[in-house]
Amino acid sequence: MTDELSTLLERAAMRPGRDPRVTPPPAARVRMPLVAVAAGLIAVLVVAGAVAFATRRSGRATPSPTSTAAAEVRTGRDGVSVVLPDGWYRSRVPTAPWLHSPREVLALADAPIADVPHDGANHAACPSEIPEAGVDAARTGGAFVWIGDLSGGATFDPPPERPRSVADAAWRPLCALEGMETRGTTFTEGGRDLIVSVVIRADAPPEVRRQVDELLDSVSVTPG
Amino acid sequence: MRSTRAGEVPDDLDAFCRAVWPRLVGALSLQVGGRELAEELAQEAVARTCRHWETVRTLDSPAGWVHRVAFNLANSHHRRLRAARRAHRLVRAEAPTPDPADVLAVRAAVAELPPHERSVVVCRYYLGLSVAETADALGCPEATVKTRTRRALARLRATGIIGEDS
Repeated sequence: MTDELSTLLERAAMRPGRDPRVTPPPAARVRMPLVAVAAGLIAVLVVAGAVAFATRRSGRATPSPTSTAAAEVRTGRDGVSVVLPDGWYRSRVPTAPWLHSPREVLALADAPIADVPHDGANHAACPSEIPEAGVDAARTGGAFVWIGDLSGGATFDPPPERPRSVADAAWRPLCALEGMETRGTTFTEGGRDLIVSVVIRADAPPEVRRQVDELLDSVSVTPG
Repeated sequence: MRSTRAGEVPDDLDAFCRAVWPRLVGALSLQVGGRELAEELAQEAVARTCRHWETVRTLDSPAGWVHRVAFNLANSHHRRLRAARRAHRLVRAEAPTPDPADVLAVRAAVAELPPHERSVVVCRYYLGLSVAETADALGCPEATVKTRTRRALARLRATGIIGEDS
């Protein structure tokens, strides 16, 4: 049986008309020895201290610090930003355009997220309204994070204040997805009620889980 | 391990991509029903392999990872196409093909299978993956693979392209 079908499929499959385009992987980050890192840190602190001392002596105002996180992603309209871990992507278009409350603010994954057609159809992977495009990205990479704004949603109790760390948040399981772990939480910050959904592949390495926690801890909210 | 300078394609990455390419395109052509689209999706799978090579190379089955990516891409494409057709009532024009009639019949029979069953048939009988490997590539339990295989074979038998004793 298997031979017969395999032979048929072998004949039916199309042969490539060209070779693959193989591109160099992204340059690996240089790992600096711990001693060098410590020495560099000390040097920076010494210089910063000297500058601060000189500034105070000269009576000039200290300039306000500017953001140095080159990878910081900001939504222009919604005032919610995160520091995107290396190798992560933000969706180009909303992954859940059928949702209005919560309204999508950010959709992020460690693999590219396919564009979702804004055709009025519901492209949710399960009843928790987790978008299929996000689940696909999590299956390809390892994780998908969705942040929505509950403002205007009258059916929810006021969420708790944002905890100091995502580890302290009141997470609840979301709908079941094969081979995936799902969880969600809500919190209030700056008068904004936000909801977070996380999908992580069950066999995702600890590095991915750490990136998700760091990403969520980096959430910055402009008061609404 | 041989070191590679920044901007160069590592030898093992190049060899891996070239080795999986023909089967990847073949599998995707059966899944999506066209060579150009199959090459496009396979190229995207290769591009992601390149991007994540430092991780992929350490996996037990790098080929399994690429298959998973490829079938996810094919499924996403299928969903987008379905939505686009719903929205715009698109009709796809099939290019004339010089292939023999029996080959066309097999392609047509495979194309008629529901996408999930088609993926299982392609993984099991074209790529030669085991039930466990297929489950891993498609992200579903082994029992689901067995069920889909049984149903797909029944449908293919009904078309007459494989025998009743199959």
